[in-house]
Amino acid sequence: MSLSTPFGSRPVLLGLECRAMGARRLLRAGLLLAAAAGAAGAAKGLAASAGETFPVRNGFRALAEGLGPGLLVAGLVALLLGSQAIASDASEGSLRATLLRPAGRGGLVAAKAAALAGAGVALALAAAVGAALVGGIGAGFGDVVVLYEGSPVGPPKQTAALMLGRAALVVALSPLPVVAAAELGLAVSAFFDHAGSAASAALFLAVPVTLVSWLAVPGSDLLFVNPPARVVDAFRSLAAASATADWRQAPLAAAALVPGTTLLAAALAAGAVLRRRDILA
Amino acid sequence: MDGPVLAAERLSKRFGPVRALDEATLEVPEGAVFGLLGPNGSGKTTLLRCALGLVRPTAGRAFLFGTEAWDADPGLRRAVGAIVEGPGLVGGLPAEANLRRHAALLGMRGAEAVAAVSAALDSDDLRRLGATPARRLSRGERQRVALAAAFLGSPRLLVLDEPTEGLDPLAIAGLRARLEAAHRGGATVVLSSHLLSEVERLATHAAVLAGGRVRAAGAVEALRGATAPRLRIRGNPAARAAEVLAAAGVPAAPSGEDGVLLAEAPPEAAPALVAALVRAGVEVSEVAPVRTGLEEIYRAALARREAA
Repeated sequence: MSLSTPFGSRPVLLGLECRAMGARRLLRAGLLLAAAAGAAGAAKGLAASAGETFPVRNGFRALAEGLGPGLLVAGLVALLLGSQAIASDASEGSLRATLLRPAGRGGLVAAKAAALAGAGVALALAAAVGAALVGGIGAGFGDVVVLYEGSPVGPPKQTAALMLGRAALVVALSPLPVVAAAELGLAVSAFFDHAGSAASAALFLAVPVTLVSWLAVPGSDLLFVNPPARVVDAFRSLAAASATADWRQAPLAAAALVPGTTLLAAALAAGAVLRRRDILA
Repeated sequence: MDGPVLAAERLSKRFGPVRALDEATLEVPEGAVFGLLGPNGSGKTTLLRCALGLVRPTAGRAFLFGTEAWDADPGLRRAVGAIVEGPGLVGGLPAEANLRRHAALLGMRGAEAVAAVSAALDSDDLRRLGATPARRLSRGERQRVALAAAFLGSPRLLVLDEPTEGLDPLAIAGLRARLEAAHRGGATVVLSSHLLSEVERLATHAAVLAGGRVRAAGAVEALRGATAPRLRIRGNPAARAAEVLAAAGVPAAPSGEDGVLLAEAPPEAAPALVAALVRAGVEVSEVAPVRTGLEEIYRAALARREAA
């Protein structure tokens, strides 16, 4: 018997972890929840614009409005999925059994991080699809026009083609904070042998940070430059910018760099922790 | 390979204030069936965890196939089949999927994996477990799946921690037969168990751990030779028999069987002791040398610990 790949056992581990991730009920429920949250956010945005006398009326705005809550739910589910990635294996003993096989700890964390990244992308896309469906049905994805008391005012501010490109970029970047949340959960998970403890710890860490960010406490931008709250915040700005005329105000670099750095740092931290810890459960 | 398959060298492990292993040293020679014995909390499982790279030693070293276990190339474990503290199955997967998972981790692909898993399902009568997720199986059924996984790929080293836990008598007999076959095939077996009778049937070597220290270790025959010989004496009245033996300078203790004493004396001393007992009015109905078994070795090792 010999290793059949030039990358050792990693492709095997990746395959096993992806299958295990796909079988998780939390992921399936999370996909529905994220889509529902995206749709609800978009519907709320449409309803709000309907009551305004001077609205920007378009499905793109609904999509942007829906992405906020959709990504928040997706991020929360991803955080919980991440927090279970190692701890639930440890609590049922399969982590120990896996590491008794020719599977390196680093390879195992890499496989789990990759599977979580896939789950994060799926969750973010579910949120975007939910928001886009409601936005498309409710207002269509035509040119962005400014309405006054229900009638167009002046020429279109943005063409549909331009907005579509921006919306595609938002949707393409939107998985980053969700994946970052998943990898943060993974880093937390690496410390625990019990799934419940890991989930509690992940929530305990994430909720105060998110609240502080929401409350816009002065200086919180500086204090919380890395956590998911900052990521969601950055994306909220990005999404909002796509619905209004001025795209240049969108914090694109922060939207890509902050979650990108977060997810890489979190995945590396998870690997470092698991490499050093005793497997007791 | 030259040298021991698995070894510990002044191996210590602390969990906070608890000293689980205290400078434990032992070697498991290639081809041996090695019984790892000891009371609960004696450090058996911790020693196995260290030797398999699951736990980092606080001090000392543990070796797997001559390589320090903590830093060993994971590929080394391709030749190891192990159960350490529980079956370790993925709860949401049925037996067959769990076995396929282990086959994949061992690097088996395609037809090779299918054949190995199929053979394991058949030889262990696991097909009847069907699609039931592992978490819904009984303790014994999960243990049988885990054992089937441990035997996948005919490993050179089998490390089985309490393998009979939850098994019915027929399954225990089946496991014994498989271990005998694996041993005949050249595999090394490390067996940690509280079932001394089962270990005794198979073990060529043994070690007794207590308080994290190795109290006795070596080939079973050598350990037998190092244990004080004893005679089994059935006398009536037993209390009088004990007095007579004590007066003759022979320590004796009740065996637990009514009227039977275990006297620390070699077989050659039997005629003189019987004569003394009869002279003192004790009716002697049985005198036989006690074959030193693992239980005696175990008791003697623990007694040495108490004395220490």
